[in-house]
Amino acid sequence: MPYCYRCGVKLEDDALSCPLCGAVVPEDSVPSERCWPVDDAGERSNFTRQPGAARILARQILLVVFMTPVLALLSIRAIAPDTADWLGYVLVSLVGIWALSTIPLVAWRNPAAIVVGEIATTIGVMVGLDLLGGELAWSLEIGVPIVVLVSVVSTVVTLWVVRLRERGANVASVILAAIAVICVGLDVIVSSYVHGTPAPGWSMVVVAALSPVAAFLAYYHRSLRVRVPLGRRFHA
Amino acid sequence: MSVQPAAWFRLDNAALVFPAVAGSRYTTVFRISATLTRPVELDRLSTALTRLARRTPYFQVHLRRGLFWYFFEENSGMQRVMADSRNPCRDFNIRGAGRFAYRIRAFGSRIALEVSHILTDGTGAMRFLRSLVAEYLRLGGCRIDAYDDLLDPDSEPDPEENEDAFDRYYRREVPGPDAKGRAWRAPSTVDRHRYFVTTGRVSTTALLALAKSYGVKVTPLLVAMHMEAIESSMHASGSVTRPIRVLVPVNMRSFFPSSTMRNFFLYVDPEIDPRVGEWSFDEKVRIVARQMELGLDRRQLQRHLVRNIGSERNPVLRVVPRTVKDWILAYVYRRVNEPRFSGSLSNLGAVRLPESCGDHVKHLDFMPPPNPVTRTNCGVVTFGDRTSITWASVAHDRTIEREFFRLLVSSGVRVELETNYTELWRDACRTVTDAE
Repeated sequence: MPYCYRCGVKLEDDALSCPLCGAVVPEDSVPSERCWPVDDAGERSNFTRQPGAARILARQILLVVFMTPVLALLSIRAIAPDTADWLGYVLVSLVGIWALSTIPLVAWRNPAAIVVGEIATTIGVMVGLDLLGGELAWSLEIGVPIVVLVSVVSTVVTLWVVRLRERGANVASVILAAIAVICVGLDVIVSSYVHGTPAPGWSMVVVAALSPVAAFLAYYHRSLRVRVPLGRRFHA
Repeated sequence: MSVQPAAWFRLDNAALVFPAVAGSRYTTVFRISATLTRPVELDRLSTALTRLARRTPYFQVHLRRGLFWYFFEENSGMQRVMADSRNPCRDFNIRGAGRFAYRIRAFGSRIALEVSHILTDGTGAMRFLRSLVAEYLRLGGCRIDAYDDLLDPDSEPDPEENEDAFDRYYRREVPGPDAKGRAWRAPSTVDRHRYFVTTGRVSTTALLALAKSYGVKVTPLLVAMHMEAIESSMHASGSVTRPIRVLVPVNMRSFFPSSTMRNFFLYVDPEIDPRVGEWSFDEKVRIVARQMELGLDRRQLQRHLVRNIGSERNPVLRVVPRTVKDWILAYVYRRVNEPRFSGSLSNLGAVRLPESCGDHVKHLDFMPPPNPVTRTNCGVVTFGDRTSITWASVAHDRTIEREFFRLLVSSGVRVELETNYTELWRDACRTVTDAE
């Protein structure tokens, strides 16, 4: 049975190194007869990290990092309320970024809560920024629809990819298709806001360019899945 | 009786001051170790520790900061066996989440428990270590018929083990003890990182015979030897300015029944005053024995208890923020409390293990915590016919240890010395040889 030459303790038969000090165990190790170790290795080792302690620390750091400038800006507004019209935009942005960063740490291992929280926060920030202009001008007509479109499509694609049994070129195919859908959606939303009628324009070019690539990748993946060699499939 | 581990609990009265002073110089960590007859099997020790940890939820905690007081909170982390160090009781950070207030270290055939005084005292720590060693040996095939006061890992914790016994025995009407001035302390450079350990092991029979020849118990005899060693250092320095006073911790469980595993100790402080004249060693022994006899009385000890608890219950002090309390307590402890003593000598007494386990244990050692004020302190523990006298010091000067062992050897008691520094080892060996 091996012994650690530094610690002198008996280790498991197949131990390659000492779990206490990390020293490599020589093959012909024998018990140590020293009274004390030769060095101070193994100090500062009464620490074991609490489960979730890193996330709690990250939350506290984020709170300090973002709330310090927020408090400073609020102080400026209190001192000189007429000279800082831009403060509201910075405040809403800071609070929004802090919330976006903190939600995943709070709703750890709960993806649905994280997605809903992030979407709601983004919408809230948009509406907040819009309201700073005096009334709701663009957020409900263009901002919120874009956020919902991008969020829904991204979530659906993510869930779809996560649940795929085999991942390869089909993932790239799905992502390209999602980009095409988002582009069409953006085009419709923007044209509705600008011209008053949903008339897709430039997005059709994107769809025309991405569709064949996405279709080829999907076909390519399927042909590999059913183990049909491409040479045979495309033989002339 | 089923007991759920407390999610949090208050510090006991004796522990309140330690978080305020704990740091790299005064770690508040003391050490008890058991040396077995065979090298430690790491896996078996880890298993024994895991099983005993379940039985002692009041030890599986970490120190947290409250607004007014520190408190202990349940630590869900898993304690594991750690490597030993040449400088024990050092670099032990107890502050912050996840940090246990104790650690188990293994080296060769030695199992050591290093524990902060914030968590428990010598008696509680010794009970924990004895239970750990017994469980380790049981897992190796040693049969334990009766656990007596050992902790059986398969049993449930007794609620009384987690009680603040100081609180239980507090009587408001008793007056506090008389205040005492500063004592003489040996001048020496203090080392922040090293801890100089000198352990002398003697025959218990020979030590008892020596004490009997003076008509006293072992502790007063050793305290008198300690004073004699300090006096040698005093005369060498040429500064006879203050009395020599030695702090001797007292296990209060002997006077106020309790099975608490937390702190429950106070102290007696015998002294001699070399300024009034020379005292022979015989006179020192008699004076110390008499002073200890008077101090080791339930009524006298209750006066110390009342002073400590009274401060804790003071409504004004209670609402002072913890940070301010830290400053006050640290100042009082370092500038007022500790300078009252020239050194300390703590005797854990005779320790027993189940008969079947006893044959597997060579000896036990007890090391007091590093103290930058009193600097050189002594821990004594007896197991079978081996009494271990451990001097642990943060000072560079070794005069007190050398004089103590010289005196012991010259009294006819043979000493086996062991140190954690080679140069000191050679020096100490030479001392014993000279004395013989």
